[in-house]
Amino acid sequence: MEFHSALPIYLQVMSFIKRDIVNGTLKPGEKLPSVRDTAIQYAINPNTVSRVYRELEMEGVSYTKRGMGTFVTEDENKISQMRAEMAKDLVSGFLEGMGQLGITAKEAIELIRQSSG
Amino acid sequence: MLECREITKNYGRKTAVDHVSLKIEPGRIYAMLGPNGSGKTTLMKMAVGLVKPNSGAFYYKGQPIGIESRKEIAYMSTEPYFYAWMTAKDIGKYYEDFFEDFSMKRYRDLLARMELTEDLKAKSLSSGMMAKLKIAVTMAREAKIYLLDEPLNGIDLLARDQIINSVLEAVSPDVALVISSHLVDELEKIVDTAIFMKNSHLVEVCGAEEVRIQQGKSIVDKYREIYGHGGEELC
Amino acid sequence: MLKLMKYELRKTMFSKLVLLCITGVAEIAYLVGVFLKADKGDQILAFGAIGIIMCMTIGIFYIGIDSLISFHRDLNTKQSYMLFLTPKNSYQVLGAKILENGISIFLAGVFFAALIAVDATIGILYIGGVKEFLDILDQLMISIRVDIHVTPREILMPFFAVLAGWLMTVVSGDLAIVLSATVFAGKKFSGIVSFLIFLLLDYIASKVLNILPDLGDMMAQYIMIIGVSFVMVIVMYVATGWIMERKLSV
Repeated sequence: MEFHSALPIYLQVMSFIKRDIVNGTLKPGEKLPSVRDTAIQYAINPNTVSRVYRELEMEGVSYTKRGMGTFVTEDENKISQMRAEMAKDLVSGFLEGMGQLGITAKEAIELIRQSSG
Repeated sequence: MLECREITKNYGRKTAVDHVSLKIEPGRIYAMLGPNGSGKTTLMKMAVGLVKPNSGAFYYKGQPIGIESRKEIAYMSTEPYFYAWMTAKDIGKYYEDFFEDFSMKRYRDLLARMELTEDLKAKSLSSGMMAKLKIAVTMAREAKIYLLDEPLNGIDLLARDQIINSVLEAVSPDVALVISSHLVDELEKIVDTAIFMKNSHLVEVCGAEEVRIQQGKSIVDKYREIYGHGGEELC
Repeated sequence: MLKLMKYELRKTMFSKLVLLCITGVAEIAYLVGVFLKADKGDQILAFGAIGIIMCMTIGIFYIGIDSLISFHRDLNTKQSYMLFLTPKNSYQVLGAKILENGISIFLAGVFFAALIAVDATIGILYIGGVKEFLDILDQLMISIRVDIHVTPREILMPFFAVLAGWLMTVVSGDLAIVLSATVFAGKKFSGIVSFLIFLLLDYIASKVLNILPDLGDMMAQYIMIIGVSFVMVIVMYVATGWIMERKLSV
């Protein structure tokens, strides 16, 4: 897994997990791997993973069952809301990049249309 | 859990470690960073009593280090140190004889993962194989503190992943790991805290995520700042 | 402690096995010589007998030297970590070494004494009579100044006193090795200075044995010599361990 080393790793892992939830790799209600397994999977610090799980829970993306582990939210609204937010972030980043090239939103849409056939 | 106060070690006229005070807390992974000759190895050796300080001391759970601390602190030196006549199996037996926290089962498991066999002779190992063997026998202990001196030196990429895994597997709330390296980026993601040594001094101790959050810098950036420009500010 | 001794034995195993093999060859030569009887077996018997005596003296000498070589290596190479990372203190590490070495020297002594006794008995029985046996040895230029009226105990006591003295010399060597690795570490001529200290220690030790009072009784005298040797071994052991515990950096 490639990380940007100057950005907080917990934020990067959070977005990896959110992406997996949004695209269905992680199903609603599915148990997330343990802190240790996630640490090994991403080759990152276990305390960072704990923080990821805490933050995800605070955002309502996951919940903890005492003694059983952490689970993906079953709230479909929450998941579609996440999808919308992440898409919006990507689009604004994309448009920002295009803007730096002097390409307007309209021209960008045309470019997308061309490249996706 | 493990701490040193104003510890100093001289070799003749050369000072290897100069008035260093440091605290290692459980549940964390530390990177001890600095160029070769900055005092990392000497500091670690004093923590296990291989090297006696000229002044200051190391304490484990409030007591001066000694026999009791050696039961719970696993140290891996950067140089090979096994008896020449030993096979990987003999080395495991030796550790089993002397360390109560050593697990032969975990040792065999780690050897297999590192693609080593028990009949390998210590004196015929390549430096990469020796590095793997050292880490296997060290991580097969269920210690409270692991001090690993340059564990990733001379290791190929695949074995590196195995070593990082075995380090991460050892983490628990009552365990601390200190990993020294002069190569920073390979430790970047896995450590909580970075300890920077320079010219036998401890120059900075800082949290890895804090540096990223508060300063927007990586540990590698920080390293360049300290050693590239000689800056010694505290964070 | 037993585990430390096990590995001390393992370290010096090779030279002991070599000694055993050479002794075996000498023993076979001796027995062949005895069975071929005087006229044909003279040379080979002499070769065997001299071989066994040499194995005993050089062997017991070398067992002590080997322990010093291994101790030097245990302090001055990376293999020192093997010992000093274990949850054992310097007294245990050094104690295991001296104990293993002392027992080895003693057992080697017992082994050779028994072997020579058996060989002599075989020789006497087979060649036919003590006098004839000693005559053969005498012809072979092995001057054995053994009065046959001496009891075995009277031969063995000085023998074991020599062994105890040798152990004392080895332990003073241990002390010198530790001094060169601690107090004189990194200094010029540390090796030579330590060797001089070793000679001095050994000189003092032999002086101490020389000034012991004359008890009048042979047995008591040797028991005292052995006892004093052991006391000096213990004193030097404690001093060496004390220095290691405080000063030794490996």
